[in-house]
Amino acid sequence: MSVDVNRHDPPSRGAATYQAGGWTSWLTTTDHKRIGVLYIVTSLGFFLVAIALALLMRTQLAVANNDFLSPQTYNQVFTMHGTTMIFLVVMPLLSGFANYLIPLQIGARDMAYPRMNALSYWVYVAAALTLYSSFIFSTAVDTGWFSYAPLTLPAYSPHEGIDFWILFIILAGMSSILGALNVAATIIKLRAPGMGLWRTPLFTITNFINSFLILAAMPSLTVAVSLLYLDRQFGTSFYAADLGGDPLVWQHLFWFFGHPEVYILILPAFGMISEVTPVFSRKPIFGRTALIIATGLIGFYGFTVWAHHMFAVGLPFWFNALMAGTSFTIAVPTGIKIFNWLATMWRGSLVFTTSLHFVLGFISLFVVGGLTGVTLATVPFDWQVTDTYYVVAHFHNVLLPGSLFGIMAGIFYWYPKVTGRLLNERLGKTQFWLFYFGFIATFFPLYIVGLLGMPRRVYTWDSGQSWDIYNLISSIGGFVIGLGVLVFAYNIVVSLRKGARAGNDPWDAWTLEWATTSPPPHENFQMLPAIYSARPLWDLKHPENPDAVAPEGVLSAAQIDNRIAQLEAEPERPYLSSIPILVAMGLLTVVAGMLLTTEIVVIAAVFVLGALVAWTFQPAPAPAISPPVGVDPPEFDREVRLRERFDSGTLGVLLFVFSEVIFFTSLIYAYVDLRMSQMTWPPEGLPDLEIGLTAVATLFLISSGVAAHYALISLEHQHKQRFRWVLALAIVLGATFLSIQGYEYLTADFGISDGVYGGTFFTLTGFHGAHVTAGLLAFLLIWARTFKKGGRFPTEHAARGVTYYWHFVDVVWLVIFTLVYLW
Amino acid sequence: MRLGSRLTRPPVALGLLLGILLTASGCEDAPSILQPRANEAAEIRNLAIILLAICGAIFLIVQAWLIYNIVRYRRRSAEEPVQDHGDIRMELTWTVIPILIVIVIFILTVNYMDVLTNPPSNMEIDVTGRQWWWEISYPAADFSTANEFYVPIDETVRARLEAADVIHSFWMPQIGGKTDMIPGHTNQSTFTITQEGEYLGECGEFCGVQHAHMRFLIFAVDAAAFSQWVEQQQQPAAAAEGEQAQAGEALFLSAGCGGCHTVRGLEGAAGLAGPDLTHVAGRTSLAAVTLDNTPENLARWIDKPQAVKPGNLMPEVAVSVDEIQALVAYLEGLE
Repeated sequence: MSVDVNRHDPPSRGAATYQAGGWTSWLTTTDHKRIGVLYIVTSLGFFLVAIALALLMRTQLAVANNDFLSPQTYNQVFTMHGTTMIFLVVMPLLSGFANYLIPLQIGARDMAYPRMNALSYWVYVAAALTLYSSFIFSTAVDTGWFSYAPLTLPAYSPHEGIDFWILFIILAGMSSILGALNVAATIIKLRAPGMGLWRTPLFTITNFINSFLILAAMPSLTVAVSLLYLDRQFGTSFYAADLGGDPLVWQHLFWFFGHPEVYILILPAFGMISEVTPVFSRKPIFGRTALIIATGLIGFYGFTVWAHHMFAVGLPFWFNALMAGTSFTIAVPTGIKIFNWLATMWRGSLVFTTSLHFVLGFISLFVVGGLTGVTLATVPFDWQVTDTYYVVAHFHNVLLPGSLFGIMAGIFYWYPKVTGRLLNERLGKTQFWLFYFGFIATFFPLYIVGLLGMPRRVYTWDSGQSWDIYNLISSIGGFVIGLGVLVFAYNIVVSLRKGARAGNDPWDAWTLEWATTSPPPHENFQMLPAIYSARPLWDLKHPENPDAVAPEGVLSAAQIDNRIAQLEAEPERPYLSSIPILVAMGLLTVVAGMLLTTEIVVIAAVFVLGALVAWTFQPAPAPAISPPVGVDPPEFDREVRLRERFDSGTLGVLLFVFSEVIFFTSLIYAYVDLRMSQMTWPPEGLPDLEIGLTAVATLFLISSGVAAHYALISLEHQHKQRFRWVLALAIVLGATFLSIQGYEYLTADFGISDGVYGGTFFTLTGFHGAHVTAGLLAFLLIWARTFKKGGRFPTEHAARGVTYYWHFVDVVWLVIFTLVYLW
Repeated sequence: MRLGSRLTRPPVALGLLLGILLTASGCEDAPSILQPRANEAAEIRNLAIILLAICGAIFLIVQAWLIYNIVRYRRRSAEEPVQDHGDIRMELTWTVIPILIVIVIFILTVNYMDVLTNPPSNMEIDVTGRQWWWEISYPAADFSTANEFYVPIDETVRARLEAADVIHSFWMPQIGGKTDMIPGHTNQSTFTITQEGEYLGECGEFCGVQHAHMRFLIFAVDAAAFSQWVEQQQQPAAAAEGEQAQAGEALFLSAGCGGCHTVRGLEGAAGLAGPDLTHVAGRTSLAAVTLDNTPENLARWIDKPQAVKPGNLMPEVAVSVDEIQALVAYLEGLE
C-alpha cells in the first residue's frame, strides 16, 4: 500500500507561530531551519569578504615587484583569507546545510539539542567578531592560518593580533564541537522509523562521519593554541626552543588537526555530490555501501597522515615513509568515490541542470587535485614543491572544484527547498562557466610557477625568472572567478523574489526532504511516507518497480488519519530561547576582556555561568521525536533498542568525552614529547614533586567517583534520600581533591613560567582541575535541585551524564598522576 | 546548453594543462625544478616524470569516462533508465587496481628517499637561517660569509642547517629539495652540483614580514676556482684606501655599523646580528638577493633600508649624503 506523499500539504501545524515573532525571533530561534539559514547567510557574507581578500592578493602578485600592498598588509591578507575561508566560510556553510537538511532527510522535527544548536551558531558569530575586530583594535594576524611557532611568540610577533586569532580559534573550535556533537546525536537518535543507518541519505551519512572528524580533530588545535596563549601571556615555554620548548610540538598538534580539517571541509560536499548525481542521472547512487565505507576510511586515514605536511622538517626516515604510505592509501577510497559517481551517471539519463554542471566540473577538475595530492605524498617530490605555488594550486584544486563546486551543486539543488523558489538556471550556468574556466586560468598556471621555483607566501617577486606570464594569467583568472561570484550573489538575491515557484519536489527526487513543502513548516512533516529502502519517495512514486518490497505492518489509511489527529492534538514545542545568544555574547565579552581590559573578564564569566545555570532551569523542548509514519516495519524494533540505549543527554556527554579524550591526549603528548627532550628532569635547582599528599588527593578523587556512581544507582532504584546524601559525599570528596591541589599550587617552589617543568605541571594539572571544577558545579546543580519544592526531581538522565563525565575526569587524573608524579 | 561546449570542456582543460607543462620546461631563466643542475634535483625530476606519467594516465581514464557519460547518456526521453544499484566486480576493479598502483608508487618513493638520504659527503658547511638573511660558515676553512657562497662541482656537500630565530627552510630549486631550519634542531641537506653556474636559493618556510626577500646565491665552480675563493675569503678585510674610504671606515665604526656587522680585521666591527661584510664588495647582490650590488644600490640600501626591504632588522641611521658616499666608498673596497 502506498501513501500519498502530499497529504500534509498545505502546512498547517506551527505555520502561524513560525511566521510571527518579528525579526527578534531570528535571534532567539532554536528551529534548525532558521539556524541553518543564519549559518548559510552569514558564511556567504564572509565568502564575499574572503574572495575580496583573494583578489587583493592576486592584484599584488599580478606583476613583478608590485607595491600595491605593503609586505605586512599582504601577510595579513593571506592569513585572513585562509582563516576566513576555512573557519568562517566553508565549515559554517556546511554546518548550515547540515542543520537545515539533516532533520529533513531523516524525518525528524529538529536537531537533538535545539538550544545548543543556537549556541553553536552564536558562538560562531562571536568568533567571527573576535577575529575581525582585530582590524579595529589591534593589528590583524599576519603569520598564516598555520601560524607556526616560534614566529607567533612575542619575540617575533609582539602585536596582539596573534592573541585575537588564538581566542578566535578557541571560540570557533567550541562552536564546531557543539555543532558536531549535535549532528552526531541527531543522526543516532532521531532517524525516522525504518531508516537504518545504511539507508540514511548520503549527505546525512557524510555529516555523521564528519561530526566524528570534528570531535576528534578540533581539540588538538584547541590545545595547540592554548599552549601558545600560555607561552605568550604566562611565560611558559612550550614552543620556545631557547627555553627548552620545541616548535615541532606546535606542528604535530596543528597538523593532527589540520589534515583531518581538509576532509572536514570536503566530506559533506562529497555528500552533496552523492545526493545530486543520482537525481540528475535518474538512477540510484552506484555502489552505495562502497561509497559509505570509502567515506569512513577517508575520515579514519585522515588522522594517520598529518606529518605529510612536515616532510621537510627532518623527521626520521621510517616515519616519513609511514606517513607517505598512509597518505597514498587515501587515494584508494577517494578513487572509489570518483568511479562510483561516474558509474552512477553511466547508463543513466543525465538532466543538465546547473547542479549537474557543477558535479561534472567537480569530477573533471577534482581528479587533478587528487592526483597532485598523490604526487605531494611522494616524499622526495614534496621536498621540492612543498611551500611553493604547486601546493597552493593543489589544495585550491581540492577545495575549489571539490568543496566549493560540491556546495554550489547543493545550493542550486536545495535553494528551492529553503526558499520555495528556483534559482535562475541561465545565470547559474553562466556562473558555472566563469568558475570553471576561471579556476583553470587561476590555478593551473600556479602549478607551473611552483615547479618553476616560486615559493608561496611571498608578497612580491622579481622579474626575469619566467614567472611573469603565469602570475598574470592567474590574476586574470582570479577576477573571472570573482565575476562568477557576483553573478551568484545576484542570482541568490533576485531569485528570492523573482525565481520560479518550485513546488515541493522540483527535481522529482527521492529523499525525505522533498516529501514536505518548500519551505517546510515549523516541525517539518505532517507525516512521513513508509521507509523501507534508501529511496522512500522512489518507492512511493514507483510502486511498479520499488527498490524494496514493503514489509508487513503498513498502516491503513484510517490508522494514518488517526495518527495525524493525534499529532494535531499535541501541544506545540517551544522554539525560542534567548539563553544561547546571551551565553555566546557573554563568551565574547570574556574574550574581549582578555584582549582589552581584564577587569570585565570575571563579571562576564559569572554572567556566562549564570546563563548556563538558567539554561538548566528552562524547560527543555520536548524530544524531537519523529512524526507519525505510514509504516511500522518489524525491524524498527531493533532500531529502537539501539537508539534507546542512551538517553540523549548521556549520549551528548559521551560524544563530548570522546572529544575530550583527544584534548587530553594532545596535552599529554606535548608533555611527554617535551619531557623526553630535556637533559635533566626536574631541571637543576627545581625540586621533585611531592607524591605523598597528591596520592591522598588521588584517593579522594577516586572515592568521589565511586560515591557518584553509587548515587546514580540509588537514583535508578528510586532511593531519592540516599541519592541526595551520597551525591553530597561525592561532591565533598571531589572538593577535597581540589583543595589539596590548591594547597599544592600555593606551596609549590616553582611557577608556571619555570621552563618546561613548571609549564607542563601547571598546565596539565590546571586543565584537569578546570574539568573537576566543571563536574563539581554540575553535581552541585543537580544536588540543589533535589531540594526544589514541587519541582521535578533530577532525572536519571542528568545524573547519568554528569557521572560518566566524572568517571572520565578520574581516569584522566590517573594518567596525569602516573605521568607527572610517578614517572 | 549546446552539445559542442559540452564536448570541448574536459579536452580544453587537458590541453591547457599539458600545454602549460610543455612551455614551462622551456623556461630558461627560472629556478626550475625541472631543470636540475645537481644529482639530487635530477633524481627528483626523474621521479616527477614517472609520477606525471602514472597520474596522467589516470587523469585520462577519468576524463574519458566522464566525456563518454556526458555525450552518451544525455536525457532523451521521460522514461526512467534501468535502476541498477551497483556491481561488485566493478567495485573490486577500481579498488584492487588503485591499490596496486599505490603500492608501486610507495616502493618508488621509499627507493628515492633512500637514494637521497644522507649520502657520504666530501665537505661540510654550516648554514644558519636568520630573519631575513643567510649566514654560511666553512668550519674547515674557518670563515663565514653571508647570502652568497661557493661550492666545488662534483663534490658532495653536506650543509648543517640551523635557525637563529624562527623557522626557515633551505631550498635551492635546481639543486635539491627543501630542508627546514628549526630552532633547537640541527638538520642537514646534502647536494652534489654537476654543472658550473650561479643558482638561486630561497627560504621555503614563511618566516615573517620579509620572507619574500630571503634568498641566496650559490656559485658552483671547479676545484681550482673554489680554493681560490676560499683563500680570498679567509683574508681579513682590505684596509681602506683613499681619503673618502678612510672617512667611511671611521664612520662605519662611529655610526655603530660594527655593532651588528663583522668586518674581520677592523677593530670594533665584530657584530653578529647582521651579515659579515669582510668581503661584501665581492658579492653580486645586497640584502639577501634583494638588489644588485652596485654603488647606487648600496647607497640606497644604507640610506633607506626600510624603504628597500620594509620591516627588515637594519635600522635607518641618520647619515648625510656625503657620509653615505664615504660608507659606500669604504664598503666598495672590501673585495
